[in-house]
Amino acid sequence: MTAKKDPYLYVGIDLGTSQSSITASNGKRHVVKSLVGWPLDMVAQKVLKKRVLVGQEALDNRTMLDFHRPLENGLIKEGSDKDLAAVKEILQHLLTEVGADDAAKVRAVVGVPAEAMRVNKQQLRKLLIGMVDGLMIVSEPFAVAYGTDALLHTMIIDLGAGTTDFCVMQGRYPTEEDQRTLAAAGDSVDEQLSSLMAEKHGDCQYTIHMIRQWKEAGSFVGEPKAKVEVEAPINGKPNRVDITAEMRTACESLIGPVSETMIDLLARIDPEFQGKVRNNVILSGCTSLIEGLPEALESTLDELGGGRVTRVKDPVYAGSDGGLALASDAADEDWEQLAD
Amino acid sequence: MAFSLLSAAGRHEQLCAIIATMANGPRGRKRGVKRELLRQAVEENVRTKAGQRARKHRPKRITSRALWLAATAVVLAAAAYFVPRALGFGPEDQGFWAVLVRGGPDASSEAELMPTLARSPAPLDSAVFPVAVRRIVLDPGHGGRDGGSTSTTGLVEKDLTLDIAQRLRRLLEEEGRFEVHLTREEDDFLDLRDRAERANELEADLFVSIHLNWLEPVTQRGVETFFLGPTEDPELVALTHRENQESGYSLADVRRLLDGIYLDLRQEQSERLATSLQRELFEEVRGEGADVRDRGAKAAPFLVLVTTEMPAALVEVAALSHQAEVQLLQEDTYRQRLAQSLYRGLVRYADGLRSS
Repeated sequence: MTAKKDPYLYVGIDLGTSQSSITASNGKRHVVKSLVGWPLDMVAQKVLKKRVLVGQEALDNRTMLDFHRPLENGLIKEGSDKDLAAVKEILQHLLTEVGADDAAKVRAVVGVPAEAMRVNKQQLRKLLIGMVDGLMIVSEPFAVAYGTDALLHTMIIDLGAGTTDFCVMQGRYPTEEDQRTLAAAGDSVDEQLSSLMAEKHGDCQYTIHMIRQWKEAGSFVGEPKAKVEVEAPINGKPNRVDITAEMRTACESLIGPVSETMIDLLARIDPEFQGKVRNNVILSGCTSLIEGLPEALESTLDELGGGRVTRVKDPVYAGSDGGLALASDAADEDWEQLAD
Repeated sequence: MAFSLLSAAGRHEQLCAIIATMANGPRGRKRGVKRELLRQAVEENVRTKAGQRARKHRPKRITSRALWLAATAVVLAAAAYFVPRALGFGPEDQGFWAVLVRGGPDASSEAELMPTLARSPAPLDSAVFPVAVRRIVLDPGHGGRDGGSTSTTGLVEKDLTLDIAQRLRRLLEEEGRFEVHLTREEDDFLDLRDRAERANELEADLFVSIHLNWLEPVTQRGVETFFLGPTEDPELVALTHRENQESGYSLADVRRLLDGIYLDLRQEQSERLATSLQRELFEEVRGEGADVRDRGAKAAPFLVLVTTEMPAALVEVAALSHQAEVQLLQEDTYRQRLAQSLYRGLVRYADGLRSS
């Protein structure tokens, strides 16, 4: 990445269904849950003393809020002005956290799912008018590839909450042939775990937010290294329950669709380079933090003669770090073309 | 032409990147590749900003549609050359054949003709091809586990759409010149993919999907008809979102389907069909109250319209959200009138196509 002495603050943003992150050229970075809430009435506003709450703060106070999780499958939910406003609040929050308010001008690269449609990108562009001075929208796995210098004969699998995005890098800008988006991702693990809980522990009381917290703390595939025990009250009475088997089943539900797509994409690569790509599969995104996932996916490559699957050093920030790398490397004439 | 210039510029930059690689070693190579990637990312963004389609890396592959068009072009070109001679016409009589083969006499070679046809198919000229509508597929919206909207009195959209479609089929069959099929005959669940595939397999000439609307606020009433096209109207975005549920398509499928379809020549015919249906439908219901609105024939990206391969329209014949309309829908005479208006719309469209 090239250091620039100019009046611009460069930022990379990973706008995610579950959490969004930002990395800025001034060295600051920040991650926030993609949740927004507005106080429901005057009483709530007096208690909370804020016009709008974002992230964990919104989650903790959701009973007093008009509460929104505005992204679905990595994209802004359609048809709701409130969800659009919520995404705007998340973006504003991220920019404020890295000091964009103090910068003369801001140039941003935002990552979106690999197969996001043109209309989604245009919607995002409209939303950011007035907030940034230059905007480039790229596919999330491409941003990860750029940021980690994985530019040739590699496959990036960005496992988010709403989508799992695949991208084969062959030294050129990826097109639709090189990319895939799967709906099987972190949220589908949550749904699976929730239905397994209902099936096996029907008396327990829990919410989807508790399910997500349990997953963040104890998700794994393969043989368990420790029991996964959680607090789930029964009729208001505190209750500790062992969900090791349910957690494993829910997390392992990802392996089938992800490995199938990975192998399908591999089969489409020039046979001369298939071996190289198979040995350079890189996982990123918050769902890639499931323990044992790289090894499990690696074992599915055995039938093709073996391969190597690794996880990026910092899965949570890999997308926004890559966005910043792109923003910093883009020349002024590039930004001039992208200005509104 | 702009496309090939862009590609040439791209190739030049790639060449520069390779030269830089040779001059600067591995570090220079990485910089060169990154510069090229950035250039392409910027180019893609400029296209998106301008509302243009994404660039595609498919120089080696010819899609089946392009292949079909190219083959048709070759056959027509051969026919233009040989048939007039076989019939005793000379080169001076080739005006008619020049109409049939667009660009015929100007196309200096087959190679020039093929990409022109593959990139921008010309609209079907009904003066040259006097086509007739014969096979019509009617699609009663929803069904099975997908009931659609339900009125406060318990009328369910899926039952009404099936009833109106069956009435419309009877009317069309009595006419004698149409072969009519329904996508479902019973209260069965079908996803949007199944519906479109049925129409495509039957090689239908027209496809009409019948639905009932839900309008907010519920005091609103009126009829509207849709043909395929993009929309920015938030109300329509919400409606298409509702109707596109249970589609059976993945996000990847949808993207591939939408990119390019709006340019398709079916759009013009679909708009004509939708306009004809809307006109007759509104004429039929306007007398029911001063508040009945003509909500028009308009573009919206309903998936069932994206994937059907013939002119297609989706018609919202009434609003289940409106109390007075629900009362009317309970009467079979009113449902018959709705079917009759759709019948007139279809016949008007089919006759228009023939007479033009």
